[in-house]
Amino acid sequence: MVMSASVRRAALALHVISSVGWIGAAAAYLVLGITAAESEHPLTVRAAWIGMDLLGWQAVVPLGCLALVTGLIMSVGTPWGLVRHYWVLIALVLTVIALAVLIFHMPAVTAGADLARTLDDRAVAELGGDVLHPALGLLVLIVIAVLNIIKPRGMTRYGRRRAQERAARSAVRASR
Amino acid sequence: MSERGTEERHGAGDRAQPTRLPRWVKVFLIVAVALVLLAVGVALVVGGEHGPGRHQAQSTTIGAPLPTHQPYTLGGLH
Repeated sequence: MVMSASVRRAALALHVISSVGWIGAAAAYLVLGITAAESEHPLTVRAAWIGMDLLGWQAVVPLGCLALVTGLIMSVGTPWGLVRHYWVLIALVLTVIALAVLIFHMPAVTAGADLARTLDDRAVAELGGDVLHPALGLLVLIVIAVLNIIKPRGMTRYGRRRAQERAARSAVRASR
Repeated sequence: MSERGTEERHGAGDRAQPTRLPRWVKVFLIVAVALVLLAVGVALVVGGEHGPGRHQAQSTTIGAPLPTHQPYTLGGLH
């Protein structure tokens, strides 16, 4: 299933926007997480946790889901395929892992935001932040982006077989 | 330079490659496995909750929860 040029361009635009947006939202989330970890001011810590909860559910998760879906569409709808090239396969696996960890992590962030709303100032000041998950997540997203830009060479066994079959078909057509 | 042309050049070159994992994939997998082992090791050493939930058992709730809508006044201005 190969998309037309106009559909492919639209899908590519949506994929780039959602993927880069995911990276930006993750970076903003990390800023809030570090702020909550470093600040001793209760109001700042409360605001940071509530901000992480809002940003996480309303920007980071939706953009991550959109990046995954558009990436699948781009893979299946173009000659790159989903499992023909190692860079596509590795980017897909990393995206699924990053999104799964994110979605399973967010309920704990919501619980932290609820605590930030209800605890007294002394307890809130000791609430800490959320740095490890977003930092590692951002690193994974950057690796995925680099793979998508560089597209290092290397076809899987399945990809090589499909390419050879296509070459054989082209040779047969050319000889007629 | 069309995307299809780029992909076909990649495919033609890759078809000629020996059937082995590319070096960058091997390096990537080695680094990934090393990082996972490191993370597992750290988790075993540190132990317990590592996310934001680690503070929840120690926290106490004293005082009224924050209202969702709080009128804000700047000094004497209203």
